Amino acid sequence: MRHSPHDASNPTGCERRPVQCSDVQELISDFLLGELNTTDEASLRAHVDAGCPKCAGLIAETETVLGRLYDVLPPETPPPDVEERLAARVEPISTAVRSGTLWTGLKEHDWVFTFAAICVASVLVWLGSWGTFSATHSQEASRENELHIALGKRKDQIGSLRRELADNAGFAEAMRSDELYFLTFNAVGDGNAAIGRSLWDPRARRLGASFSRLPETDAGHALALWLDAPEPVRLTTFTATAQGDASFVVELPAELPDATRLVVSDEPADSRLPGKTILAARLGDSVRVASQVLDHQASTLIADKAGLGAHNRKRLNLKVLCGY
Amino acid sequence: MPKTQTDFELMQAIRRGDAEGLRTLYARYSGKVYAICLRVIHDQHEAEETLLDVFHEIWQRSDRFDDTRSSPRQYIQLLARSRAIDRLRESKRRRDKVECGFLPELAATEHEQSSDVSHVLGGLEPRYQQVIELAFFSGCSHSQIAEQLQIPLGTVKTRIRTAIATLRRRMREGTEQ
Repeated sequence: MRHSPHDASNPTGCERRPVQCSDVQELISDFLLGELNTTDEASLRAHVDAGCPKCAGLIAETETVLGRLYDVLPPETPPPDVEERLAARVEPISTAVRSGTLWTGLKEHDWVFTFAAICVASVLVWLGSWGTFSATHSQEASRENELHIALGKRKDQIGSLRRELADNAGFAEAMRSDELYFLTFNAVGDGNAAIGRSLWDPRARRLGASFSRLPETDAGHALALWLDAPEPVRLTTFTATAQGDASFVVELPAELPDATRLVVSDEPADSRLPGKTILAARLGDSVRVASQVLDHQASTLIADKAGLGAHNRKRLNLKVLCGY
Repeated sequence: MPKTQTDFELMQAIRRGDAEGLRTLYARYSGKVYAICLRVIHDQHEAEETLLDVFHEIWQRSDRFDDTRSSPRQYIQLLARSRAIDRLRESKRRRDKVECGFLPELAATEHEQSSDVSHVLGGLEPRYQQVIELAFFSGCSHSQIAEQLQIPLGTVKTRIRTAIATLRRRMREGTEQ
């Protein structure tokens, strides 16, 4: 038996030798059962990480054996609130979508909180993409400018989509709504290029979408817009122009499933054959489009999440950030 | 029609920060993870908290999953066991209790589940089945098993190693057949 120098079972305190393959045979079950002391565990990991395929294979094989022991356990249904709490920890936006508050136009209460959550997530994503948010004023000012540029592009994008849908698809009524949500469709694979945009109004249950540069489909094929749910719901079937453009408005069904994405599929003429998903938009990424101003509480929440100091709280214009 | 994502695809999605990937994985494995937690901890509230911790860890430390070493299912199940045992031991420290094993109120379901476990462990001698059941399904440490069975700690370790080596050999033979 090997001994660690500081192991209580090693009273002599003699110098340890590096883990060898024969040791792994002996230590592997203790390792996988979490019974190894930290020194031995580190040595074993170092041995495997150093590139011992034989031992790595043995560990993988043993993990499989141990994993199979649990295959016989019948699953137990956990209380539903566990998933809700997980969603709250992971992504506030997703919670709102899953609980149906976005689908129903936030009819119950407190849209400000949900809006704030969207903004917090957006701020954090943006900040995260730029690396650690520095405490220095000059760096924050620079990032603030970048935020404004990014938001300006988004505002332009939404404005042009509104005009396009109003002109081409008769979406004028919904354009006046303050309950609109904006989504971007990205290509599945192929660099995830953004080639579609959507505005949807959960209160009026209408969704407008506009696509450009859609991939060319085979003769007889059609494109279909789906709600990606356990039982997918086909919202509409459409075709694109020769240039790959398409714009339309669809009515959303009264009973909406617990969907996570909108997807566009390429459907062959023979309906018995499966379609292929070519675009997807995550409902959790919906951004509210409204001329609203955050109240003090929501602003404070965002500033706290972004870790801003008192000086930069004033500099960061949250109304500009969130009030389209 | 959208196609069903494999476990590996879901783990990749989670690594990219796709919360829907986590949600799908939760829908697929929360029942199994919760069952493992209940089996090890024997406390509904603690099992729920552990279930939450397991999937939060999958989300936060997605880089820890090595797809060259194990399948997502195996990884999740062993992570569940490990976190359940951590919580059980923490709970016991708080309550200053050292015992492990099955609780009386769970005896009926334990019997049923033990039958399934025995099926998997069938062919192992009873003394080996016993240590595996205590180590895997009751959250006992090796020293607790030694205390409970009144045998030396070294004997517990030897029995567990022998049992696992036997199961490994049996799986290898089954694969080759």
